[in-house]
Amino acid sequence: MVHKLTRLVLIFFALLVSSCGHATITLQANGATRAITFSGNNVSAHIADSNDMSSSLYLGRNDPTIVAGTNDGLAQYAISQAREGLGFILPCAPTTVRLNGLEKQPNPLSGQKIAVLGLFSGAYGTKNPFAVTQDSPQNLYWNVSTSGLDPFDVFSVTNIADANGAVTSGVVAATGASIFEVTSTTQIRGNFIFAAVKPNGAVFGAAGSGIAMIGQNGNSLAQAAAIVGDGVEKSVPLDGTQSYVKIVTNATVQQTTPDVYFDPITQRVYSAFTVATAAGAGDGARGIVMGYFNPITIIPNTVLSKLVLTDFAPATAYAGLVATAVGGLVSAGGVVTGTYSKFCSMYTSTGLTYGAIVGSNGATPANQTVSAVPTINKSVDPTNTTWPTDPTQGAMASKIVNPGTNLKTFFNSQFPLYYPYMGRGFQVPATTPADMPLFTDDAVKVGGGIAPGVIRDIQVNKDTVFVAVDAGAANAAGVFASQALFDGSAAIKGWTPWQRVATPTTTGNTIYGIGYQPQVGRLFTMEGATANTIDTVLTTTWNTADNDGLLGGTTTNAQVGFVELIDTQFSEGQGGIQAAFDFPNNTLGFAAAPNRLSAMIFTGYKQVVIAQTGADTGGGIFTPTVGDFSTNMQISTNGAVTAPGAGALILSITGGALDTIGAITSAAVVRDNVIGNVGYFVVGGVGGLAVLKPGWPVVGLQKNFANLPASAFTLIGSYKNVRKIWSDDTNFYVLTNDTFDRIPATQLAGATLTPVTLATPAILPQQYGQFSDVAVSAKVALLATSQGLFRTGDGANASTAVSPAAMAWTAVTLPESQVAVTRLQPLSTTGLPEGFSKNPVGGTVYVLAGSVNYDLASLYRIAVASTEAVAVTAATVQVIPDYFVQGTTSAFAALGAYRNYATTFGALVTASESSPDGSSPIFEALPPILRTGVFIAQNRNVQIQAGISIAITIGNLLRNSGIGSLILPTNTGMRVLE
Amino acid sequence: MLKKQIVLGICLLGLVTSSKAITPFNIIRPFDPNFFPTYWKNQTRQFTPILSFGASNPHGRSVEGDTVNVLQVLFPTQDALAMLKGFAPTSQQAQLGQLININGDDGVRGHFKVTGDLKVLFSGSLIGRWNWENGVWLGMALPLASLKVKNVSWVDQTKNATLDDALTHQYLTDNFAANVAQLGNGLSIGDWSKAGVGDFTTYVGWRKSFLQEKKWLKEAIVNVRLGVQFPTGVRKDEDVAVSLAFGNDGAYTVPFAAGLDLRFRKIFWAGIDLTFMKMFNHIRDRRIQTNATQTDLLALQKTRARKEYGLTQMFNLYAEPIIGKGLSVRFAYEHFKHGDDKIAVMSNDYSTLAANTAAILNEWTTHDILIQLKYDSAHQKAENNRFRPQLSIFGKMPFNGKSSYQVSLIGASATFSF
Repeated sequence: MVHKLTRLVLIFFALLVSSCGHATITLQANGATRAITFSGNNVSAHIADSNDMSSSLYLGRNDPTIVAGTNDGLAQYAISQAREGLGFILPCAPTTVRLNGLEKQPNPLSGQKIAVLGLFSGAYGTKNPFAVTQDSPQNLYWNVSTSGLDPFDVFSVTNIADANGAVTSGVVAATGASIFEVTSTTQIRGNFIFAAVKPNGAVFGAAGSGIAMIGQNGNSLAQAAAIVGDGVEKSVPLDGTQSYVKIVTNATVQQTTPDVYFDPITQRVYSAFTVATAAGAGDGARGIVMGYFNPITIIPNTVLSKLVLTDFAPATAYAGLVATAVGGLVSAGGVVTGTYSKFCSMYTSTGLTYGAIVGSNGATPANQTVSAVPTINKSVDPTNTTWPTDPTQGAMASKIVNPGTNLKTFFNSQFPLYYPYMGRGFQVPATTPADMPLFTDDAVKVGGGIAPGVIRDIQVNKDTVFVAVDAGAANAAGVFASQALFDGSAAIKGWTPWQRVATPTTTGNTIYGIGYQPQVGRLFTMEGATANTIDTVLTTTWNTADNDGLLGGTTTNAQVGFVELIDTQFSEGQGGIQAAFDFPNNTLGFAAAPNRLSAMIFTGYKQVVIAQTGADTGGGIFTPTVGDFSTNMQISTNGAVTAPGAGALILSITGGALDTIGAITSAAVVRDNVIGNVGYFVVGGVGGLAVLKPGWPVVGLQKNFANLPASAFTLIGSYKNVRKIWSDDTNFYVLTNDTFDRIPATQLAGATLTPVTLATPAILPQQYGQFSDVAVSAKVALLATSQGLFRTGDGANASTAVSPAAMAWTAVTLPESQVAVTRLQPLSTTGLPEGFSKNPVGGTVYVLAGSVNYDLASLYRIAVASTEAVAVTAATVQVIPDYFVQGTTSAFAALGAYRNYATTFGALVTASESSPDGSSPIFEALPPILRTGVFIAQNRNVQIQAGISIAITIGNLLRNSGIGSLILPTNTGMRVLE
Repeated sequence: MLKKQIVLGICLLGLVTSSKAITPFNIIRPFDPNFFPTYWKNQTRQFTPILSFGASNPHGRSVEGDTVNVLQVLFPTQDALAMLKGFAPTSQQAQLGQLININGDDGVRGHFKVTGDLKVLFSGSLIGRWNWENGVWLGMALPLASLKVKNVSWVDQTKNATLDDALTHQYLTDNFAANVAQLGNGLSIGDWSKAGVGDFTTYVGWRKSFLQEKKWLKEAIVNVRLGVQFPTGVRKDEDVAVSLAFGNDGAYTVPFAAGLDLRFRKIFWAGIDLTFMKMFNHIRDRRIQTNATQTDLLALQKTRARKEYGLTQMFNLYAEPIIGKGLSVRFAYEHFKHGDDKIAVMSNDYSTLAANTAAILNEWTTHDILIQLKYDSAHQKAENNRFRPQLSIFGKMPFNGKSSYQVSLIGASATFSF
């Protein structure tokens, strides 16, 4: 009863906390101050349950075990839970439990230091944590009950056997698995824990190491026999002597950071570990093995089963590749080591499976390298009944995409009237060196290169890989993410660069663990000063961020924060913040290290605010700008700025030329590419274009706007109704509702513009058409119009064409669309929107086709190839095929109603509409299940509670690249996810 | 001879009853039971003109029943952005909507506050009635009216804060009347006036008096009626947004009704009357709603459509103290309720579903109090005197209702018997 009362009180306070306008929330347990979660209960082991409906992050105590009988209130937090939507931490280790069915037993987890944490659902269907303690590493305990239940059940297995049948010296990694392999002829089902175990008396990797398979046995857990019929419980061996590890000669598995992971899509178990080859030339080893589940009898009498470890990639595939291929290596003479520490599965929004692997063979830092490799998924083939025991299911697939042969899409012929989509998967295993994904492949290099710092945690959700990293050579610590870019066949062709998505709330802290919350894109973070002093667990939330120490001001003064200072510059009655634009630190025209900055521009009615969002420290570490933004803030009312004062972070400008422009819709940084990094801020809107002149000097704009001279916005050109300004290389482009012009950037220095018109409504097939959005990269221009999407025609070049005719505008057919296209969201390997047709792989553009007329909108995606070195062809722009039924390409997502914006961050897809028909605005997250072929009913969308009910207009959601927060501009100010 | 029989036959199909136009307005309907003449023996032919005038400017009752301007009955504002919805994607309307509204409606952009003055210059009916000895009677009525809606004002609510605001001004609302006329194929949003006839109506009825010997109740008169309304009335001008129909807008209608009048000694009369009207489906070119968010005055699309009418009910309850010698005062409560209409678009070009979301198709009601001073000269003249007129003056005051126009009326009626 007391416990329930406590929970009610906690919930009450949690609701208070969640309604106070905070963004990042420190979840409360017994912290001595509200700034920290725990006092005397540092945590380390953790496991995220990223559930589509309600996510959790489970935490394991890292402080020494509390002496039994100590009643300090901390023991119950030996395992604890951060649950989505709650402002506090739930204790999950009550003092007394029903242990293996015996009532009122001391909880073997209470007060314990936790070494390993995982999730297991057993026969009851509810996923709860299991743990291995530091003091009893040979045992494993599973919380059958959810926090707060009484009696609280715990099941255990003791003295887990190693591969020799002796008691292990300890479990070093473990994962829970729900086996559900059903075909028309077979069913393999069961729930198991797969644990990597040390041999008796030795470290992991030594002979006797292995993977134990543990299942529920009535009111307890039990280990299964590795070899069916031998009658002895033992683990499946995993040292360097097995054929699925070694190449030619026995290898050596090392004890460092092994990992075990279960992929629910391929239904395979993976283990990653560090492995050293033998010394002979041609000797090799693989650092990833795969396991599948082999039943001995078939349902309804399945009673025995075993784990079968096998090749993730066969030894033959590595022949001659030395250290270039992911997952293994071959010696050219001497011992070489492959260091692999994490394996995560990836189930992309295009329906393909990949493995995201942390590790390398030494060419890049293993703890900063994340590689994505395709994996085989035959379960999507409705005619395949043997995949559950097929050793190639889940194995590394050939990187040669070869649509129709390797990458195949399946439809169910049992429904011949419409052949519904069943799934998509790679079908050809990597068996030769040519098939092997290499560390240098663009499709493999998550983030486009090494992570910004040493990876402390990794999590994958749909198209996005998140990593929590230490401070690196060029970036402060935090959480970074990279999003997959797809080619025209739906396979990954590249990655966006690592971009910050979260920042520690305390200076000097590092984020050591994360838990993504897919429902509305929030993130649990665990931070501390060191890996052994992690005492703060937080969740990002959607709100105004007051006093969070990030964008919400200091912990004591929200008035000096980014949000408050900028919001107050805009009048709610005049539309508030109408648009926001982010300029990362690699924006062309910005200075190089050690003077880098990132910035955002907010625009509204006759108003522009320019704010720094990140900058280099003195040592060249790019660091988010947080807390107090008021230093030397400049508020101008005459359309001009004086040279910014030292440390200035915000420039607010009204008046002057901005009065002529009225509503300002677009802003860009335009670099005069002829004279180095000389650049300008250019804005446009109803009344035309204005440029902040005279621009900054050749070194590029420096942090704190230090080298921005006294400047004034000056009207240029004779435009009206500017919808977009776009900068690309030596040109900038201006889009109005009825014209699309290219202008050499050098003309910004002069008094007049001589634009080249590239499009007018005359290019459209019918009367009354007009333009709504544009994106330009290299030779490719994509033009969103009220009559569809158009691209640069074959052989044409947007950067040199001299007329609309020379652009040879060509319609891009969006199947089943509502004709009009309203928004474009380019993604590129550079992180800059203008990079979507550059570098070797080009990019992916998300296209919102929205019909005001029919009150409908759909989200499409197109793959754009690089045109830097080649001409535009019919293959340059391809609609990525999404299906519901065979033979009909569909939209990626039908939004069910008109939406002003749809924005994707890979794991999160949002849509918004400003105050439809005078009612409250809509800001929703599309369901996490959204993928190719997944029909989403509109009522499955989740309204994001961002405190926008009183707002009328919602602008474009975007990421603040400096700190990683998402920013949602509204007429009542911005809302942030941080 | 045959022709006369056919005319007579048609006339006999109806029983005299009240009649009303479909316009949601509380004006006096022909054969309103409160204006039934008293039948005296030998009065085989009766002629009744009714004339009324608006005593005040009509007002509207909103969907919620609030008192509003007559042009805000269904919506407080008219939505010019919504009017562009529902058209073919490449049509001028759809493309214009796409131009000015990709950021969505902010609640005021493209909205107009519309006001106007509805004037009832006069309304009335000319009613002829033939009585037979057995209680059967035949009636014919021709309503007349002169209405106008003037000073129609469209006040643009669009702000000047955003690009969409600017585009809305530039491309739509700053020259709104002309744009509506062009986009709406001649739709006018200005003033309107019309004088003319309503739906010609015939009735047959049967009435019978039953004398009573109760302490108080001395006479009971029952009547039943059945009629036909012919669509002769001025129809709604589909090209004038604020126009009204004088009748049932082209639909044939069969009213059927019954009433009971009770006399309590020679002190007062009381009565109740129920009328139901079945309007038959009617196909004509109509302006239809092409999107659920559209407002009633801005329907750009005119197309062939069949309208199915809801049942109309009229309830009348009165008490009439007899002052003496043919003089009496009637206090009546009148309630009109018209059920939901439906519309069916006669092509595949537009959505019937969208058309049926129109608020104008929804139920409307009125509630009125009528006070009528009546004088029947037959009480003071000899039975064989052919000139025994019945006179009344009246006032009618609305007090409640929804989705309707309401006006306070004063008027007079007279019945001459031959």
